[in-house]
Amino acid sequence: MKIENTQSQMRKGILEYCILSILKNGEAYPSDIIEKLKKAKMIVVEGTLYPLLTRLKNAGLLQYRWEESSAGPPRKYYSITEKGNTFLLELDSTWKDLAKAVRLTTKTKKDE
Amino acid sequence: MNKTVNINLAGMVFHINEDAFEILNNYLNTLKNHFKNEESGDEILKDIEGRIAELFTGRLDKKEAISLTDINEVITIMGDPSQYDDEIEQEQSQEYQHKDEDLRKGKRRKVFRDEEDRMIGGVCSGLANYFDISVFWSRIIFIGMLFLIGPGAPFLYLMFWIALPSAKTTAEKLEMKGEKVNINNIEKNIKDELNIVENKILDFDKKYTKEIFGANSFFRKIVDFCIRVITGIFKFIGSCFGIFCILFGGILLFLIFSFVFSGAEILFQNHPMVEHVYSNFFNNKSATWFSLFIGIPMVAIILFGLRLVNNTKIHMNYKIGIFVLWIISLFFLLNSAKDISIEFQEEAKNTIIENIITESDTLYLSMNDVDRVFDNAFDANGFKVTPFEDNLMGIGMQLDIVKSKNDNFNLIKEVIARGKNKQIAKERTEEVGFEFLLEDDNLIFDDFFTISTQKWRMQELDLTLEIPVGMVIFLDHSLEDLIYDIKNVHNMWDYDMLRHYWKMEKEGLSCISCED
Repeated sequence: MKIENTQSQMRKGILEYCILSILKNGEAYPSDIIEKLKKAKMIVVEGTLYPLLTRLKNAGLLQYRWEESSAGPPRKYYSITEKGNTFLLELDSTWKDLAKAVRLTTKTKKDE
Repeated sequence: MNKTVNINLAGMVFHINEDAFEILNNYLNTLKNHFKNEESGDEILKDIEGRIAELFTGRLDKKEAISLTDINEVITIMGDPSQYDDEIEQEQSQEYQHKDEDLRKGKRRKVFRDEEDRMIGGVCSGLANYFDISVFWSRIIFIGMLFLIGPGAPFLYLMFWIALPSAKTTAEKLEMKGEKVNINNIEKNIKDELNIVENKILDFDKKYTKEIFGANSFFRKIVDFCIRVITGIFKFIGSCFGIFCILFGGILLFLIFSFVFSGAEILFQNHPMVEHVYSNFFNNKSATWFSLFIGIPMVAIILFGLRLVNNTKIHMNYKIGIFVLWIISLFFLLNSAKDISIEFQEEAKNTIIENIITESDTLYLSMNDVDRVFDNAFDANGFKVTPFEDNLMGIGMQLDIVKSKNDNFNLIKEVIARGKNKQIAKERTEEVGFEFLLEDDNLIFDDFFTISTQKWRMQELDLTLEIPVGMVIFLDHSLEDLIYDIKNVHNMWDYDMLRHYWKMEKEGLSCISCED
């Protein structure tokens, strides 16, 4: 049992939840998403994001369109799909449950 | 000053310093490796390349070429694959754990095409993995089937090619080479299988639409397919030839080895011809060189065949080593051959004249008629030679009958022998002996001559009997094999001269008992 594995597993699910949450407010291209995630200290390196976006897209939770960019190659603008929205709603409630569970369990420990 | 390289990243051209290019290339290769088992690995890679291109563009406002510093900064931003907290690794490690468990439980494997080890489509290697045999045998079996069911075999192959998926992900590759079939897992496997089929249909649907409308990739696939079929056919012909080489070389090599190791070589050495003629050639040493000389080309043929069938490559050093060994064996073999030829270098001749003293004016000629069994004889230079007691015995000498220059019966023995030098050859002529018996007026020849040595060095014996004029001889039928081309006034054949009395006239032998 490695601490890194547990940490990354915890982060992984939450990262997907964050990405979907960011895109809920409207379409964005990866650099935008990266900015937000970096600010929130959810990711350290940008490379993390691309595989995640592709997997979410392959799962039908995200879609994208191409847009020409003046500063470089064409960009992929990602947006959330209907399926993604449903998925996100479920994650929302799961997150609430988890947060509650974590709060309760850690509190109990502290009190003891 | 720095040399720059032009690169195309996400459709944009960049000048990049050569040292920086190396680093970038390595980085992209690392990423490629990292995502190689990911289904959309290419897409992810393209996205990342696009992002890198974007970062580069931001850095090229005031300069033209990407430097090492730029690359290092960009790589820091993008991060090393190990920092990705990636799903793949976890899935893989889970997969490995699964595999460990499955190994213990004995999970069965699945059939995939093995595209990493393919001649045409990887069907044979995939099936070999499934049945846990060497791919070599599955290819042999396939080619065997070609002979058995003819054109059905390629058709069958094509069916398998279409029907079997290729093992792409790590998980699939593991499953391909996985474990044995076990009843416990059947239920689970059926579920797995159903899932796979379901996914496959979905995948197919997706791919199909993508590939038809993305005309490029569709055509490329067709072209690729054709090229693969054509190269496949060539490879197949190569394989057939390769298998022929392996079988041919293998059989010959087997014969050589069984010859050398089964003791057949000793039998061969005991062959009288070898023992008495080539004894100093066929010793253990030259037998070794001989088997190397023949064996090495056979090994080369087998290796060539293996390369055609299985693409097994031999390191150049081994090739050179083997070749040098072959040259050495050739050298020693030639050396041995030279030794034997020296033995026959010089020839010597020795003529012995024996007077045959008889009171009678008629001599009855005959030969010891012994029915000999030549089970150990060999033919050498027109003679039959066979071991006899401690010596050799030669059979097949010829007798001529001519007019005597004096008043005596004379037997002229002309002996020839060969040797390393004149002296030895001469000594050898003296070792040759020939006996006859004179009883009253009966002259009885031995049917053989002796060579009082173990070595056959082309010892030959020619006999000539001289008859004084006026004397009569009778040729017994036992002389049939001895007399040869005897001149007579009637020009009669040797065989017809038997059983007759012949008188030596001044003109030559004349028949005095013949009817005509």
